Amino acid sequence: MRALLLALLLAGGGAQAAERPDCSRPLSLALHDHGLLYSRQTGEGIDKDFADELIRRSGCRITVTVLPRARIWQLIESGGLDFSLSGISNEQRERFAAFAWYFSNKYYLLVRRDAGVQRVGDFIRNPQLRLGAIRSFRYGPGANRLVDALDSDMRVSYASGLAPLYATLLANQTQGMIIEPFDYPALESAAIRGQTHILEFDDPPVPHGLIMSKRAIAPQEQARWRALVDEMRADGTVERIFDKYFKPELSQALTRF
Amino acid sequence: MTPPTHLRNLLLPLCTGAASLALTGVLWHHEQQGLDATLRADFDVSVRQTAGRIEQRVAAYEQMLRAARGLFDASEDVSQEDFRKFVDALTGGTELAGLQAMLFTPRLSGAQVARHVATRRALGDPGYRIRPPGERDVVGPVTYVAPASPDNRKALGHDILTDPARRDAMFQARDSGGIAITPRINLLMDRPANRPAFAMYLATYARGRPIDTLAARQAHLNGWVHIAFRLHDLMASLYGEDTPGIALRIYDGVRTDAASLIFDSHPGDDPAPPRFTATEYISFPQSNWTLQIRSIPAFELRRDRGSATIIAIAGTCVSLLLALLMHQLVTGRARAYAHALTMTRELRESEERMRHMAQHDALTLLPNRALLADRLHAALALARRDKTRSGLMFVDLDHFKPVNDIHGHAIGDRLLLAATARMRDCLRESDTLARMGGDEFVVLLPHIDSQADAQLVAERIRSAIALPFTIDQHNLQISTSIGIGIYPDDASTPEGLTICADDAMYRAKDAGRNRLVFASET
Repeated sequence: MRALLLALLLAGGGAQAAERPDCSRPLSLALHDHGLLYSRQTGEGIDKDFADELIRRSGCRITVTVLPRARIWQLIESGGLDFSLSGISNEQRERFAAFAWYFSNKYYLLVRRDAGVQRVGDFIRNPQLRLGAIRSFRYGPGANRLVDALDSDMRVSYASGLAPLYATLLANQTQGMIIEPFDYPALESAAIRGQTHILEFDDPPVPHGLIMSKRAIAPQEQARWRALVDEMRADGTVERIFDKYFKPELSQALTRF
Repeated sequence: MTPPTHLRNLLLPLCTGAASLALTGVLWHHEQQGLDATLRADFDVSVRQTAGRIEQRVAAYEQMLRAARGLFDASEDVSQEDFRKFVDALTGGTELAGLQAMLFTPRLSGAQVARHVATRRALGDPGYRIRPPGERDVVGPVTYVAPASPDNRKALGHDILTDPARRDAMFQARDSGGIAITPRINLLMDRPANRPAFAMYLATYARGRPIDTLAARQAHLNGWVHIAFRLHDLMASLYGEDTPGIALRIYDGVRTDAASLIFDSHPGDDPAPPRFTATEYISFPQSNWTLQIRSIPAFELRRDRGSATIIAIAGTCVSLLLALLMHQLVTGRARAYAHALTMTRELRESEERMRHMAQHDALTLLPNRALLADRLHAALALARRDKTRSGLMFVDLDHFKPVNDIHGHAIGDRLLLAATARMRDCLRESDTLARMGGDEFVVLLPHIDSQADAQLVAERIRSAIALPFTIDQHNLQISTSIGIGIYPDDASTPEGLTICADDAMYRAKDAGRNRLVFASET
């Protein structure tokens, strides 16, 4: 019922902005290798499916590349890249990026069992503990506070992707990392499940969306792309993409916000 | 209760100095923090730049591979010569040092091998053969290599699918359609040297066939374009011989043990613990590199202009000066007061001395003529009021001049002093003995009852002086001639009394010396 209401509401908005985006020039979109969002190993993921659908609906020629997340943000800021996916906003990013939300999720602290961390605050208090993080990643307010506090103590090891973070966690070179629901499949590995547990931040879910470079995409075009994304949410396409990767309850929780 | 003055005088300068030192400390701390923050920010930038440069170089390699795949997508039959020209064009004019070779390896079934070898031999490589020998279902022999240097040509014919590390990366590249990097390997052209090197693969697929699914990519695999690079060459091409201000170690994988070390910018150099260290992971499909970055002393020296040290030294000096200045200010008043007191005392003493000198004889310290005149006036005024008598005696030492002439002035002066002492002993406290000059003395007896009192005193003096003196073993004999005037019997004014006493003294001298004569005697 709720899905239907949402669909009707958003469909109304979509009808108004029915004008398709301008495809007069080739556009660029970058994915980043991150769990279920996109895996370079399989060449598949939520963001890949989302990008394919976006390309299909817009009818535009969009070149899809895979880049480290830090590089993606640099290029979005400079206008060297038009789009990326699954981005979250903050004050700094608002200056150079526009967003079209299509899902929302919480962040969690994955921490080694032998680190003696029962609450998030325990992690900061023990100076021996190091966090692994992906460079340029931002999270909810509580997770940001943790990362920033540890960073000022030089207790964060940065990586360009997710894979080495699991490896360093298992090698006990870092004792924690921040994860999202897209990282759950990795947690199903016996080694990680056996050695870690998950703590929740006191943050509300953070909306994620299509990232549009303000330098590259004019405000009117941003509105058209946003309408396209809203349309994909409204007609259930986004939820169907998520259903491929999550149980229905979780994909509903992620896409209905 | 207030503290003693000297404590108060110390307290204020100490507090001032301490406050100034504290301020210096705050400034120093602030400067140090600023420097720390700058250093930290610079270090972070260095870390990001280092990781970013390596990633971008690898991304550039990926672009080259994608371009090479484009070549195979565009043409059904790419010859060795086409490949060489393509690679020449691709690397010409670009800064891609560090790249050892670009290669093409077809995926062959066992049945295709014989034809493949025959073709290669026919095309001008008579010695071409598949290594290692032996029958296999799937073979991946290196077929094209560019640049075709003698070293690089050693790789031709190697079935690289027989090497597990390469095979994993090649299948990974095939399955994902993207690039894959091997863990550390030895290049075929490097054998037997053991320089850390890597290969990066991108699969090529049959032309015009769909490759949108894993199964399709596996089914339509044509071969691989790949590049080989040595890490030291790559790093040297990024930084030259040195990395700016930082020492960099790169490990293959996430373990940072000696066995995994693949690059060390400062080998064998592990000095004092670095100020900053960071660990950064570069992630590739199927492979990770760990970058261990540490600052070296040159990093700090380049940025530290010593301002914190200057602040500390200058601040400490200023604090000490301030404390000293404050001490001078606080104690200045007290010191000025003490100085004024000393000067006043000295002035008073000086005045006293001057007054004494004006009223006393320098040799005997007896009152002189002036003081005697004062006292005579005062004594006569008192006697007049009380209706009493005063006596004035002129005492002249007889035979004194010969003593001076015979024994010298020094003996004469000592004789005068000795005579003075004897005369003094004959007088009361209230009487005045004055020296008029030379051998003339005057005695004022301010209060006597009769002439007999004066006679008694005069006779005592005469007798005392008449006794011999022994000065420096010289026996000296002198006597006195004494003239005595009595107020008011002989005169009623000081001048009158003086004249008549003086006159009586001359009469005593005339009468043969060593005697006393009253003015009243005729």
